[in-house]
Amino acid sequence: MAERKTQIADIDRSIYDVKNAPDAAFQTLGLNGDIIREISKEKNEPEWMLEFRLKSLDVYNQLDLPPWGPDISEVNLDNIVSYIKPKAGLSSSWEEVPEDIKNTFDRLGIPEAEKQSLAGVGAQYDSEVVYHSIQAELEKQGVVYITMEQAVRDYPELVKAHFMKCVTPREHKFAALHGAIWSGGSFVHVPEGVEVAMPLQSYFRLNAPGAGQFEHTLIILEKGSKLHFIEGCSAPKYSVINLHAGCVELFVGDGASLRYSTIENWSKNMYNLNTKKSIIGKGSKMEWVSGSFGSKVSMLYPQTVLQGDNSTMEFTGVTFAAAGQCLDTGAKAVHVGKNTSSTINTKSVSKSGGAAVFRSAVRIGEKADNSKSTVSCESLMLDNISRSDTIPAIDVHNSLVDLGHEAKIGRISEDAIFYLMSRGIKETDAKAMIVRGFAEPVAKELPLEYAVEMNNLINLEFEGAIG
Amino acid sequence: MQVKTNVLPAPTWRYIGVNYDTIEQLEKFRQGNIMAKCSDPAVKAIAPEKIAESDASANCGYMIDTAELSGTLRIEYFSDGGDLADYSIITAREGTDAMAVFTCGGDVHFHNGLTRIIAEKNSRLTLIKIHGFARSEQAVDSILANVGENAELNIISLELGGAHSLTNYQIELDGEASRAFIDSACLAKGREVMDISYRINHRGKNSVSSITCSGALKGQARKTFKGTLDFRKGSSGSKGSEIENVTLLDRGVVSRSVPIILCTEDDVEGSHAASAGRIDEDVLFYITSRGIPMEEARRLIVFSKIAPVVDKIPFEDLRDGVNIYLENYMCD
Repeated sequence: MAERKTQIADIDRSIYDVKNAPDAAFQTLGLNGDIIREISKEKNEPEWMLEFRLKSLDVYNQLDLPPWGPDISEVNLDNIVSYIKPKAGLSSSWEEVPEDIKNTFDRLGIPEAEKQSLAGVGAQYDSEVVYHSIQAELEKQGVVYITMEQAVRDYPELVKAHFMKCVTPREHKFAALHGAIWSGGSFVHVPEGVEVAMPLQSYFRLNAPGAGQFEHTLIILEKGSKLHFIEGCSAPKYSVINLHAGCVELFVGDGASLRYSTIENWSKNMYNLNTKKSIIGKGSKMEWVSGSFGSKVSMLYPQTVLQGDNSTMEFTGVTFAAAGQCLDTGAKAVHVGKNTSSTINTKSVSKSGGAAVFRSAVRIGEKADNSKSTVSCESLMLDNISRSDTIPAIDVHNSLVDLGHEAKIGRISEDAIFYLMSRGIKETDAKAMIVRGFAEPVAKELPLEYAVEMNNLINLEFEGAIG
Repeated sequence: MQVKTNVLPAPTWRYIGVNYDTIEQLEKFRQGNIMAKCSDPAVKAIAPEKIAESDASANCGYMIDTAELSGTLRIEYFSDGGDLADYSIITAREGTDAMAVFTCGGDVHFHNGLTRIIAEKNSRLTLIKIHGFARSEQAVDSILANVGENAELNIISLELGGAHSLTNYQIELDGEASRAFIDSACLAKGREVMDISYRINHRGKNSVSSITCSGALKGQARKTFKGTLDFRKGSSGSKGSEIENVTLLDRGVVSRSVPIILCTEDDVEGSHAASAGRIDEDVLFYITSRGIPMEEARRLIVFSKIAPVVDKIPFEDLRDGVNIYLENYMCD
């Protein structure tokens, strides 16, 4: 009897692919100065933000598409809905959120997760945030967790001093695009010395076909504070392309500690061209946990500028590329301060014709004496129609460093299978165990317990031999 | 005219400055006395009309057939100020085992070397190249090799700098069980700029490769290392590894590394490792605690980085030359 082959299933997308009929209060198509003025007017923004948007548009028009990485020539802003405002207004109670939108987040498990284990939740639907809440206790401690639009109005000085100062519009073409048409997102300010015990979570849902989502997340941690922030993203699949060009800016003060966890599970018609960057101060700690599962094309490389002496950064990432996907992911570290330390640790799996690319850049600056950096990436190919590349770059400008990089590409080790079989484990079970074990060091870092959605991300189904 | 060279097979962020290097393409060679010395009379110089027929722009070169060699081949180029563009073709005949050593000395304003290698099945060729004995403003050395079934190509390369030196080796492992090993060492100092690009494309089944590059940088030297292992479809059962290790002796140095693995075949094993850092203080302490002066201890440690490569040079005078170079290097 022929042995049944193991199927390592693609991610079960049934809960993400539920579509609501687009029902917009206001929307714009394409990109030009008039459209930006319209968006700004609709948002009732101060003049300085409109000026910033228009300057960013100029930069966008000057910059070219990156000549490296996946092919993104299909992204045509003339055909992208640049701004789409749902009919729902901002609410602080799930009961007030319109039924169809609420059902979407219910299916994703967000309200349940909020009850169980989150200190605050923001939920964005298309271009606008429809729900935002924070525990009263945190508010008393001075923690601010509001929509980005509200922050522009209520904390103008703080926003002006930080908004797109970490990721500038000149960083690349899609950062400039973001500066021009950003909408939605969250603003977090944690005062000096405050430790937020439970995580905050923002969830971004893109429902409309052919739309772009350009949310902005700005987090400022003052001296000695502590926060865990979780970000989740999903969208149903349409036949037209969608674009996600969000921006995350993180300012981590001296002695502060931030953990930023992301599960990206966009549908396979999504171009995920997101930019994330943090600047961290003396003795501070930045931790990134990143899972990239969805999208047609991803270009995502969270960057940390280790500005302050004795600061540390850890990046842990897992990428799972299946049929039709090209996930170009990794991380960047820039060591500026003395005695800084960065650790990048990633795992990637490619199957069914998917392409997983690990890309990294570590720079040790002239003044970053006694810095250390370790980069490690492992890739597993599950068949010979897939692709797996590693493209790390190391740029050292200081002799007083300790820098190491290692990478491995291959399939399941025959020796490991032999070892397990010699212990009485069936070959099929041994192979299954090894695949699970490969992803486990990263998977255990993912905050699965906080957002129910994440439980559905990888569905590994073993029924016999891997083939 | 400026032209791009040492182009990264998989480009990355432009701001890092590793996607390519640029060199000056000469319209016309500067005239000077160029001498070429070959140890084996059976080896023929390439006739000028043959060079003209090829794509290579060269002013000297040799046609080498390993079946005709009577021992280790040694070819020395020397220039007293003229530009040197050498072009050699090496055919490693089936079943032969040969070694060739190439050096260049004198004052070469512009050096452009190209070695074309065809390694037939079951052949073994070891090619040793020493760059940097000659003074040069710009030195480019390229190897383009095709390796056949069960053939082995060993390249031993010593990179001793130059104002702007570039190495570009591309090896196609075409045949089943073909093998290629690049073992290189580099030393750069002052304001020297060094761009090293090694690329091995695995095409045949069960092909094996390794790249090792170690060395040291001092002064304000800038080095870029690009090593690529590309496992193409059909290369099942292949293995490849690359290791780079650089010792950084001064604050002003810049060391860039891009160790790439590209893979479209699942049944392969690819690995790379890179490290960079100062001299290990524990090692330095250990050596000085044995009564060896600090400067000598530093020299020994740097020499240990290049010794595995130097030891493979079969001629004593060349090994002595490297030692003298190292003495001067440490004193500069």
